[in-house]
Formats: sequence, C-alpha cells, structure tokens
Amino acid sequence: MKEENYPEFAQEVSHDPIAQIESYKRQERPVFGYTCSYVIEEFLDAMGVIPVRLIGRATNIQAADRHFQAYCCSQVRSLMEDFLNDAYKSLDGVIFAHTCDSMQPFHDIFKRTFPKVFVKNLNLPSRLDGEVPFKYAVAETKRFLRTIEEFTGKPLDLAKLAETVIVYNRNRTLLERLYALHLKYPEQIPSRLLLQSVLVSQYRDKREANRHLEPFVDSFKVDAPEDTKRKRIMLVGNVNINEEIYDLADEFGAMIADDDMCTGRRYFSTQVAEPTIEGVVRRYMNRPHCAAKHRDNYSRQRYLLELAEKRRINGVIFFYLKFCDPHCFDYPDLKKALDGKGIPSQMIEVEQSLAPSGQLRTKMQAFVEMLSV
Amino acid sequence: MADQNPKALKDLKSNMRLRKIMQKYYLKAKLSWLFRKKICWITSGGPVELLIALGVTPIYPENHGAMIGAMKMGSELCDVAEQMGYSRDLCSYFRADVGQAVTKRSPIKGLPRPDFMLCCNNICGTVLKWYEVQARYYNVPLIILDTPYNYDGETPELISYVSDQFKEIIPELEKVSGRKFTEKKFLEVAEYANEAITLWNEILSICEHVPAPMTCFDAFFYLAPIVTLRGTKIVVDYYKDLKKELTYLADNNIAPFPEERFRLVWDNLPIWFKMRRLSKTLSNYGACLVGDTYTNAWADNDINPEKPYETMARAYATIYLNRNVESRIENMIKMLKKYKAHGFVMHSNRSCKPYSFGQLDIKDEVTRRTGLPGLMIEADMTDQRSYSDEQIETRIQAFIETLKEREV
Repeated sequence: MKEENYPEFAQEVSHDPIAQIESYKRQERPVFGYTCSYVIEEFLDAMGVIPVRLIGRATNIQAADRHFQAYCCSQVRSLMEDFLNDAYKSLDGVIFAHTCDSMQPFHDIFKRTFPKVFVKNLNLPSRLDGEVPFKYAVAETKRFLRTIEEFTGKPLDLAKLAETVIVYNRNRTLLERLYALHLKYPEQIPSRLLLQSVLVSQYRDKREANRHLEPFVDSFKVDAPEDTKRKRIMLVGNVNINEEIYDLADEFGAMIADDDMCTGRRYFSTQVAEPTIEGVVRRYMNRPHCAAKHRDNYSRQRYLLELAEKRRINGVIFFYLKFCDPHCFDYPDLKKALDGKGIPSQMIEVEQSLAPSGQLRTKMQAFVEMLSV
Repeated sequence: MADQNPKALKDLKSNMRLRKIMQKYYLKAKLSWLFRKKICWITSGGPVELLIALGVTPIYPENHGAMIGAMKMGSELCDVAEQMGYSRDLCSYFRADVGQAVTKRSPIKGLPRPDFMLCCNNICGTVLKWYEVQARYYNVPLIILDTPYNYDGETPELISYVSDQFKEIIPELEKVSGRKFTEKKFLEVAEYANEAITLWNEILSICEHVPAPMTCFDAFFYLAPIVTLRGTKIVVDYYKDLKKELTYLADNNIAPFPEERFRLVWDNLPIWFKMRRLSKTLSNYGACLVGDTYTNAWADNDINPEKPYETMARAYATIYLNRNVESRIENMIKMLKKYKAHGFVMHSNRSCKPYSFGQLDIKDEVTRRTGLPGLMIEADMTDQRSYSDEQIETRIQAFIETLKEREV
C-alpha cells in the first residue's frame, strides 16, 4: 500500500470543508454543521450524526448585508453569506451554542431565514465556575439531547457514548503530540500543519482523522531535541482559517509554537475523564475557555502566561477576526500581563480573508525581527 | 383637538423633583463611606432588590454613561479607553466608564469607587467583560448572575439555574457587604419594586392617549429612578405624582407639540447626545415618538412574595433584551398597535450589538405584518463620532415623505 502523504491530505481536507460534507452525504450519513466549539460533538457523534465545524469562508459579503449590519463580526456575516449562497445545502442540520452577542442573534436570524433547516441550540452557561453552572450545563445538555432525538428518532446510547469518548480523546492526544513534535521538527511539520490538522479534526469523522494523523505522528522520534533556532510565537484569538500568518512566521525564521485559538489548542485541549454525559459536559466546562465565557477575572491571563512559559514563547500575536468584542475586551489586560513578563505582543485585526495580504506580511516581518530568542 | 403647550410638560413639578432625587442619590452615593455603606456597581438589568435589602448603595455605570452621553462628554472619555488599547468597536458606555475611572472626569466628576460589583448578563454579554475589566482595575470582588438567553423561550432548566444562583449569591453578598440578609426586608423592597414597575407601566401607557402628553425623549429622562432606585419608597412616591401630572395633561389634551400628525415608536437606546435635536427635527415634521421598546424593558417584571426566588429568577431571566428575535417582533407589533402608531424608528446602535443585530429582520417582518413603515438610523448612544447630522436628517426627511404618501 502506498504510504500516505499526510500534509497533502491535511491540506486538501482543511481547504474544502464542503467537499467533506458532500462525501458523507454520498455515503448517506447524516451531517450537522456546528457554529461554535462549545457544541459538544461527542453527543452528536454518538447519536449517529457527523459533526462538521462551520467557519465562514465568503469574503465578498452582499446577501448577508440584508440581515447583519457592517459592524457585526466577520465570522457571522461570512457564514450567513455562505448559507445564503447555498454553500451548505447538503447539511441535515445546524447546531448553535451560546457564546457571544453576535452568535446569539445569528441563531435567531438563521432560524427565521432557513425555516426548513433543522436548527437546535445548546444553551450552555456563560459562567464556568463552580457546581451551580455545571448542574445547569448538565440539565441543559439533557434538554438539548431530547431535541436531537427529534432527528435521530432514538435517545443517546450511553455505551455508544463511551466508545465515542475513546475516539475523541485519542484525537486530542494525537493533536497534542503533533503540537509537541512541531517544536522538534519545524521543517517537516510546518506551522500551518497545526491549523490544518485541527481543521481536519473539525471537518472529518474523528475516526478517519485519527487514522490519518496517527501514522504521521508515529513516524517521528519523540526523543529528538526541540528546535532552538526559531523564534517562538504564540497566536491568541478567535477562529481563523487563513494559513498566511503561519507561513509568514515560518518564512521569517520563526514558528507558531502554540496557540490559544478556537481553531487550535482551545478545541482539543483537555480530555474527557469519565465517559458519561456529566463527564463529557465537565470537559467542556474545564477546557481552556473562550473569551466570551467567565471562569474568574484572571483565568485567561493565568492560562496564557503558563502556556507561554511552558512553550518558552518569545512573542505573542493577538490575531482577531474583526468585531470580536469578547476578545477585544481582554486584549489590553492580557497585553499588560505579557509586558510584565517581558513577552512582546502585537494585535492584528483582520476581516475573513483567504488571500495573502501585503500588510500582514509587513507587520509579521517587523514583529519577528524585533523578537529576541 | 390638542391644546399645544410645550411649557406645560417642561413645568411639571416632577421634573425639578427628579433632578433633586438624582442629585441626592449621587451625593449620598459619594458619601456612602460616611454612612458606612458599601458601594456596589450593578448592571441596569441586575437584581438591585438584593442590594437595597442589604443596605448597600447601588451604582449604575450605564446610567452614568447616559449622563456622559447627554453632556456630550462621550467621545473624549471613549478616547481615553482607546488610548489604553480598547477597540473603538467596543460599547461606548464601557469605553466612557474606563475613561471616567482613569481620569475622574464626568458630569459628576467620576463614579464612587466600588467595594464590589454585581453583573447580570440579561442585557448583553458585553457587561460580563466590562465588569471583569473594572473588577480587575479596582481589584474588587465580582459576583455574576448568569441568565441564559431565551433561545427556546423560558425553559424550566433556565429558571432553575437562575433561581439556584440567587440562593448562591445571597451569602456572597452578605459576605462582601458585611450585612445580614433578611427575607422580611427583601420582601418589603420587592413590594416597592413591584409597585414602581406597575406605576412605570401605567405612566408609559398614558402615551396611548392621542395626543400623547410626552414623547419617549421625556420617558428616557423619567426612566432614571426605576433603574437606579427600584425597590425604594422614593421611586413609588415619585411615580405616583408623575402619573398624576401626566394624566392631567392627557385628560386635558395638552400636548408638547403643535401637531401630532405621525405617531412613531422608537427601538433601542436613545442617542443621548442628540435628544434635543432629534426631537426638534421630528416635531418640525409633525412626528412624535410616543413609545419605545427601551423604557418598556423596565415595565414588566414582577416578584411574587409567595415564591420570591423563582419569580425573581423568571423576571430577571426573561427581560426584554434576553428574549429572542421572534419575541421582539411580537413586541414591536404589540407596541405599534397599543400606541396607535403610524411607523417606527430603529436606532442601529453600534454600541449595543444584541439590541441592534436582528433589527433588519425585525423591520422587514413588522412592516410585512402591519403594513407600517420603519426607518433605520445608524448611530451610537454615547459616542458622538459615530453620528452624522446631515445623513440622519436626510433619512428622516425621506421617511416622513413615505408617511405623508400613506396619508393620501
């Protein structure tokens, strides 16, 4: 059997989520798109549905202007445009989760605009601290699961859930290993492969994603030393599918060594400890959290500083899709905390775009040059 | 036939009395340390009844933001926050609040420092982040009441969650305030709050009368006590008298404008720094804003003394801004009918995203179902930089033409 070229596979899948949905439809497997990484994939998967992450790809917003003002977040506008252009017509349903002031009305408007689409919402709490929000998250999840039964016709099978949890935890371990190997083999595992691999996990059935990723990470020796020549950058932000920032880091002699992105570590960090409904919910409450959620006043600051120290980060780029309020609120204090540790940072705000940008190149070059290893 | 008398409304005893009430409120707040009272910053949709029952002074940064906006200090204070790295796309109340905290500049020379903060996210997710920022700045405890958005209406899970949080929050409030919570005092406060809410609802309903004795620009002004002093006897007494005065004007057909040719309903927060000019522009065309969705948001929660936590949970979890777009469509249609309106004006407010996103769909649907036209103007509640006189007045003029055509 011909040995697979994993980077090529990852590139192909991550560049075309719609083709992935179509391929499952040809196999007559039901597919739900989900808008946020707080939608608990394990439950959908265990109920026989393939969950596929929805990230806006449209860059020329026209039809969505009839629903959202120009000061609405790029992810919402872009995704709405995709749907209005019928890009996701093969989906069997769309699942939302509560996050921010833009996604919230997006759910309502989406439901109105596409009345024939099966749309459900997992209304997880904004508070992630303590047992009261956890108790609600479990109760709300059970309510949500009853609404999914309207589609599947049968309740969640706990034995199936336990099997699914093993697959998802495996996927998280593999991505964790890939991130660690990237620090040792930055040439063979370029920065963009981190993003592409996370997107593969978000777009493909996890069993398949694991089957492709596992031999690739197994092919590297784990005891090799970490690279010490490249400057280490950490990306912090919301969702991103633009590879340019990763490529520019590599090109200028640095690397994206780690991240706190929804299309990165936030997605796969933290394992499910117990294969039950409560155990799975607990993982989503405990994982590194989105800026729209609250654990305590310093939880994100603490987490970023710990990660930066662990990865020996030389600089941080706050990479935000425009009009993302929760992240913009956090930025000045996070920057201050990094300044306090002597870690330089820069904020770059972008509209959803897949095209190379001269401005981004200039900013990255200047930033990398100023970093010291 | 209306008896036009703009002075009649201006001369109401309630106007001067309100100024005095608010001056006294801020003065007492600033001197809280003298009375050994703790200060709590609270969001406008927050459960102030708990604070009043504990003898804590509530302070509303949003009310202060409105004051900053009305005094046209918004842009300069927002600019201070922007210099600190806060994006101009963030809520202008928040930016102005950061600006006033750092500079102590504002119409009342800054808000008194909080001892702790109480944030209820039933109005937006913004307040959650805003209060995190300010709790770090002042290094004070932050207590959060999380009220999930009503995507699928009011669910039992949601009500239990909010109700459970009340039971959790009360001991925390006792700890930070150093005062003992008693249910007896709380029920007394809740009764005042209920009475004030009923009165406020009745006051707003007086504008169903044709001609309306006041506009929503006046209602924005009279709103301050129900927001800041809800749960006290002062508010109840004040609204009783205001209701009497406004009822007298309505009964005698005394209206502030010479002509009430077009009755309109307003959606979203006011543009605080343009109230006078907008009011004048509209009245020049014989248009009058007789009702609004914003002031009505404080007119419909009710605490039942038999089940105080459950009903308080329901009241706080289901306030207007926490309801889904479908409910907002129904509400707008109901208001247009109630106020016998000829159309509606929507303020697409860059600073209030949950209020503004959805407006484009609401506008289309309301017009489709009622046949009434709507106008959307893009501005900001506090930051003058996001406002263009010419552009907005041209749009108003065009809208009035549409209304005129419909008269024929």
